[in-house]
Amino acid sequence: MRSRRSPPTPMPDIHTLVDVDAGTDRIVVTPKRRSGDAWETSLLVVVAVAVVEDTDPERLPPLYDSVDPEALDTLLASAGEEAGLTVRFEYAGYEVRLDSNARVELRRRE
Amino acid sequence: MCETPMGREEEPGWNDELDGLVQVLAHPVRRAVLRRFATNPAGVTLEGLARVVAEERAGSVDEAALRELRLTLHHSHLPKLEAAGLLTYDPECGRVDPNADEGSHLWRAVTAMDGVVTLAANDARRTDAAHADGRLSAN
Repeated sequence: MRSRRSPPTPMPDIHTLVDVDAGTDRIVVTPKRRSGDAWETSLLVVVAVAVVEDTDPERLPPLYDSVDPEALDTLLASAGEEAGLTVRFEYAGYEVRLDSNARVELRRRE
Repeated sequence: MCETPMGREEEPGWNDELDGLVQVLAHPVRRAVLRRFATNPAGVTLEGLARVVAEERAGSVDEAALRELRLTLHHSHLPKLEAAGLLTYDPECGRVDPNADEGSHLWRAVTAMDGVVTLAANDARRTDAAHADGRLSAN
């Protein structure tokens, strides 16, 4: 029996999924594709943090510990792009701002 | 006044529990996870569970789909099932074990509701098939 899980399949494609704009106080992550069919917006949060932290999104703590990803996706999808909804929460040492245009803003918590 | 026998509905907390179960069963991936444990109560790794669910849902295992399934299981479905008291998930080790001791009535309710969902889906398929046959014979 394994006490630690073996390394997951490498995911070289996570860097190709998003654009990262790293400023001094905040990091803005946006999806490259706007299709939105393959990835739920909530998964974009874990991909964004994983890219910035240079780790695997499966190594990060479950997003559910901060917010129910399903509820988050339902809320964002219900608002639509015109409503200008922004959700703010804390996850994995970051303050996360996520809007209904699938734009993720990360600020490191002091 | 009519007297009705005391049902589970009157027990404190039961309706909350029932609401939680309906929510848990509202997603096909979570139903697939629960079916795996209903038929095989042995613990499983995240990787193994993702393969079982992918095979049940798609009939095949595609690496990209498997990868996304592992992510949604890890970040959403498994913690949600754990919060409902149905399994334990260790995100550090990627280990999933059914919580069989946590009141077997939970598992009976899960199985019964999963049966209802399957029945309704099969019925819908049969109705669609009957409509398709009707159109064919009309032509």
